[in-house]
Amino acid sequence: MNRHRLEANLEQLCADLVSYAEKKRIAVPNPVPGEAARLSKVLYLAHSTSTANFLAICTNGRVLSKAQLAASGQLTLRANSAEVTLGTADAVFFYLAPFRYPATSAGLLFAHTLEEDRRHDGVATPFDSGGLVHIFTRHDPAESPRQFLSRHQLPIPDHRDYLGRSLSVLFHSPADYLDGKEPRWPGPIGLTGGDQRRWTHEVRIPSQVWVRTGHLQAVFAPTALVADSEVERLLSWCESQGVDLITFDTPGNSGFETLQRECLDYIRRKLQ
Amino acid sequence: MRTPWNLDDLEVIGYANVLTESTLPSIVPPVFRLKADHTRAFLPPFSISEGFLWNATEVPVTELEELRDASEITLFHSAFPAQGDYELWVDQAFEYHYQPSGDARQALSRIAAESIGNAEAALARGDIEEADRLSGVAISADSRRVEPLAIKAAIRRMKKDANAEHLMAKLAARALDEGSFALLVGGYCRMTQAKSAPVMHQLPAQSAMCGMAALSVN
Repeated sequence: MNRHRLEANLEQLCADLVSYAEKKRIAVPNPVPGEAARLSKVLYLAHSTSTANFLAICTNGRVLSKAQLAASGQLTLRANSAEVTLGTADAVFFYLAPFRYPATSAGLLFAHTLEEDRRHDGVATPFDSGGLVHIFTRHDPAESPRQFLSRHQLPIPDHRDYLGRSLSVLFHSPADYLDGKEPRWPGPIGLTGGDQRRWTHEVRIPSQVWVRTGHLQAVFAPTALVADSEVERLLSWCESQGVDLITFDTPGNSGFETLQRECLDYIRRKLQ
Repeated sequence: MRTPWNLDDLEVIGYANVLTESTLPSIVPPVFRLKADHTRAFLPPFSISEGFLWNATEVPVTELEELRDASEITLFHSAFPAQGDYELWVDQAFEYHYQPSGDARQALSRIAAESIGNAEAALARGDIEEADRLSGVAISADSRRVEPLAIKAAIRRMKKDANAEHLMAKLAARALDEGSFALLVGGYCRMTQAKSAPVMHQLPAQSAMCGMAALSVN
C-alpha cells in the first residue's frame, strides 16, 4: 500500500474521531494535552514470544516474520492462519504497549526511532490485526477482514498522531491505555469483543528487524534463560552497550504475568 | 473480572511455552480446555486458587492451533484432568510431569543441587564445557541459586570474557552482594587453577567453597 493511501486513511480516521466526539459530546482538546502527546510520541514497540522463539531471535540476531521463518523451515504457516488471511505473514509484529501477546515468556522493546527508520515500508493499525480474523466483531460482516484492515492501515510514525488524539479523547487517562483498561468511549473504529488488543496500536515491519542496533531499548527475560549460550551472548552485548536488561524469576506458572508486570513497571519508570 | 472456572471442569492439553534442550528443566504454565467443550481453551495469565482458575484468557481452538504452529505453545497428544495446587514441569528429556506443587519444587531443587555438585566436580577435574552445561541445568531448575551463576562467571573469567562475567554478577546481584559473589567466583577460579597447576593444593579452594556454600539464597 502506498504512503498516500496510508496518509489518506490517517486523515479519515482523525476526522472520524472528531465526528464521533461531536456526536457523543466529548471535548476534543487542541492541541493534544501534554501527557497524551508525550506518551504517544515516545511509547516503545514491544515484541514478546516463547522461549524457543526468543532463543531463535538471539541466534539469528534478528526478529523474522512468520513467512521468513516458514521459508527456512522453522515454523509451519497454515493457509487459514490470520496472517495468511490478511496478507501480513511477511511482517514482524509489535505492539505500541507493554507486552500483550498471550502466554509469552521473553521480549524486546524497541525505541520509537525504529519507526522513523522504517517509515518507507512499515505500517500501523490502531488495533491488533490478527484479532480481525478470530476475535473481534466488525459492524459490517459483509466487509472482509482484509478490506477492513486495508481501510485502517496507517503510516508510521504518523499513526502516533491518532494515538495521541485517541488517548486524550477516548480514555479516562492516557495511563489507562498502558494499563490495558477499557477506554471510556469505544471510538469510531467500530470493533467489539476481544481484550485490550482491540485498541492497542500494532506496528508491522516487513521481513525482519535486526536486534543489535541503536533502536533496541530493553530486553526482558527470565533469569533461567541465561543457561542458553545465545541468550547469554545477547544479554552480554546489552550490558556492554548500555541497553537495559530486565531479568526476573518466574515462580510457578506466573511467567507471562511477571513479564507483563516487569514491562509495565519499566515503561512507567521511563516514560511517565 | 472474567468468569472463574472450576478446575474439575477443565483438563490440561499442553503448556504455554516452547522449550529447547538448553532451557530444561522448567516449570511451565498449563493450557487448559473445558472437558465438556473442546473448542474453548484458556491461556495465561491466570491464577489458580481454591480449586478455580481465575482471569484466564479464553481463546478458540483455531487460535490455539495457530499458536502451536508459531512455536508459541506446546500441545499434548492427549489431555489429563486439571488439579488444584499442582505444577506442570518438563524434565531434561522433554518428559512432562504434573505433580503436587511441593513435590514438583522438591524435584527441581534436587536437580539443581545435583547439577551444581556435578558442575563443581567437572570444574575440579578441568572439564570446563561440562561444568558450563551443568551450571545451565542448575539455573534452569532453580534460577534463585547463585552458585551456577558463579561457576559460569568463573569460566567466563578464564575465557577473558569480561562482559559475560559482569552479566553473571548482575544476575546474581538480586540475591547476593557484589563482594560475596566475587569471593564465590574466586573460589571456583582457584578450583580450576588447582587443576591446571598441580603444585597448588586443592584444599584451599575447597575450603573457600565450603565457606561460600552458605551464601546460596532462597
